[in-house]
Amino acid sequence: MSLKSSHLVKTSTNHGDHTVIEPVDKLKKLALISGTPEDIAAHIAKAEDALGILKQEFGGWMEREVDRLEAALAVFLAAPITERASFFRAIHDIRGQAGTFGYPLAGRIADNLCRLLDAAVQVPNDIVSAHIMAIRAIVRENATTMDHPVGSILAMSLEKVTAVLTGKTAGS
Amino acid sequence: MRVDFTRLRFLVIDDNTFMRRVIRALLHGFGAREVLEAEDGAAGLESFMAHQPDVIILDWEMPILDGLEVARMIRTPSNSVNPYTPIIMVSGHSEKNRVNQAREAGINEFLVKPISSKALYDRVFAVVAHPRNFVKTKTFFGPDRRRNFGATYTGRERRSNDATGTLVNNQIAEKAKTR
Repeated sequence: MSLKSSHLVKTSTNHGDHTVIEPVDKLKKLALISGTPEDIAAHIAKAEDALGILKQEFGGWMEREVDRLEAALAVFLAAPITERASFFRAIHDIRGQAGTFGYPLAGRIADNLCRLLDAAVQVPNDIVSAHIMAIRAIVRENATTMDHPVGSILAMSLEKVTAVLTGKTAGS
Repeated sequence: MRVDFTRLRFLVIDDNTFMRRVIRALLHGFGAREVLEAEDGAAGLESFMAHQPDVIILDWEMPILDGLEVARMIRTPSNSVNPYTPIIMVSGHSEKNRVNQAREAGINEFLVKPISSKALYDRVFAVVAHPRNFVKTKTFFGPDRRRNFGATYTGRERRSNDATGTLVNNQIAEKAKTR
């Protein structure tokens, strides 16, 4: 498809080493309408309500995600080089979703492990496993707040280990 | 001003079923009627070509073709039905270098998980209400990365570059074909 496809491009200006293209402004005409801040707040509240309907399923979803994570861990420990990417995706999913599903501490621990794996340091298997066990424990104990006394100490301890392994200060 | 979601067609590309359900619930809550789903990058590209969505919501970490590769494919004018389609990347990655990588791949907006309804609304509003020009260089094709046009900018000139980006796009195209 040419950059100048007439139905997609309004203007195209060549500047030698780069071209600036102004696409046809379709969406603004199609979907931008007048509305007050109150209208927007109402739409956002409606979306929150829609999410609220799903909330009763979040506990079960989280259980299944942790099952998947444990299965991915077993495969990873058996073949750490070839299975690293799929294990990373599983822990990364928990990192992103746990907060939405009501387990922010599990998300914090998953985030810590992602950073550790991202830092490309040699991560001992027992440290990887400890993160997964901590996430399982948080879900099992239904620790749904960031300040859960045992859960937060667990998260902090794992962050300290990460700091030692990566040579950074915990929390930085 | 606000966005009328009933008039937009969304495509959600995410390998995680639960996340797709969350995003779908939020979009329907905003009023969207047309929400297409794809469970991996290749299926997402097929759906993009077939249905030409107005807005794409794209996960980063996916097997085979990840979100960055999907974004680069969509932003390849020779292969794409509409290389200017807005892409909102939703990811657990929050590091600055990751956000920069996503911008280099041509995404419009970046949304860090855990996702909130307000943050998602704001990103959709941004692509609808404030469309940006696109820039094409030898190595980049995507929304203009300069949101601010300050006369005091002293950083690297990124619109002149070598041809490595073209090479990357060709490699991704081959990967999609061989799936």
